[in-house]
Amino acid sequence: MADIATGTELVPTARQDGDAVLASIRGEIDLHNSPELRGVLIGPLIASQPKRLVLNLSQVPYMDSSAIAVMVETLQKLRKFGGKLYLTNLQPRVKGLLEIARLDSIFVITADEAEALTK
Amino acid sequence: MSDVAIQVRDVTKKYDNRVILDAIGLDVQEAETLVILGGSGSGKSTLLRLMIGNIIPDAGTILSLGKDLCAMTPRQLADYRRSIGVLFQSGALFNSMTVFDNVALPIREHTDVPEETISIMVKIKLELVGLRQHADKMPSELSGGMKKRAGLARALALDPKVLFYDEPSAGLDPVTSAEIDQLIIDLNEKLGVTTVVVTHEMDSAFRIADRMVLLDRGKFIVSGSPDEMRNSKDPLVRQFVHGLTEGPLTDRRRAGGYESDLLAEDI
Repeated sequence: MADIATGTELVPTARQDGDAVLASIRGEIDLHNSPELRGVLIGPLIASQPKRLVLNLSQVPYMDSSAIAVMVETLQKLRKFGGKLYLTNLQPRVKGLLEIARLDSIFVITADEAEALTK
Repeated sequence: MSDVAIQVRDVTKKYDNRVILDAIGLDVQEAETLVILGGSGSGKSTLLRLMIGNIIPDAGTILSLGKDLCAMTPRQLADYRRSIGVLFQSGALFNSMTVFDNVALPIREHTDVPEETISIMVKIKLELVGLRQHADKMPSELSGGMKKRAGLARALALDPKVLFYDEPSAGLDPVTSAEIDQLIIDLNEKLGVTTVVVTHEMDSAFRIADRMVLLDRGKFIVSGSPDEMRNSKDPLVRQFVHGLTEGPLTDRRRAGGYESDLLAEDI
């Protein structure tokens, strides 16, 4: 397992675990900081072309559609080399946003990181 | 107990000395759907315009999202308007732009979000309102219901915390109206968006409301849950809610001096 440098408050740490990259996101994500999230997700987190990008959202009480759009964009890039995007530990409002935007079937949503690594 | 999103305190609004709103008070709780009912000329659209910072009251204060709308600088008011969404009756689309560009406009104007992200955001909003397949159309190619849905997609563009709807069902067929109502419910329940709806369409009001208030001649007559309104014994509430042909509203109209007007000899 190796750490990946991200250098942001929103994604303070990430780590490579085999062909997976796991990262925890912290804080609310909206129009003000979603460009920062984008810089990390479509930058260092997929640089190694992981088969699984696992984002732990347990510390994300709210995200807006710009954050969701960044994740869709990340998934577009992942798919180019056969990767998948896993979202784990979703809080209710985030889950609600994904449901209402009918995106809960585009991402792989799991209860926790362990499930994401085996699913 | 939830927090208050909007506080209207002793607000009076006049046009040419005619009192439209008369020292009214109203609290809108965070994440609730409040329906403001009232007939034509009751003052409900004026109240909406006050709450979105479009006009200012002659007396009283309006606090929305913790800010005093009456004390804002033009720049603060512009910031406030970015934090809310408004669906106008007509949809208020720019006719020279495609549906896609109409929805993208507020994001392009008010944020630094890159175009790739905007493109996905707009598709999400259009999918929400069932118009993703019509993104490239011009407003003139849309039906009334589609224009309203496009207007809603644009109102949602910046993920507002409060959404105001001005007569969302007006001019729509029953199925489209029910679809818009369901969308209002979903946005409120799943995203916790505080929702204020001005309407006189009772079917729609009963579908979406957590709480209803009835405005008549510039004053609130009653506030209650849909069940409380439905079962109210107040004659005016009963007439309005049930659409009765006899009651205080029609009595008032009939007492308008018709006979003396007709029989006056100074013609």
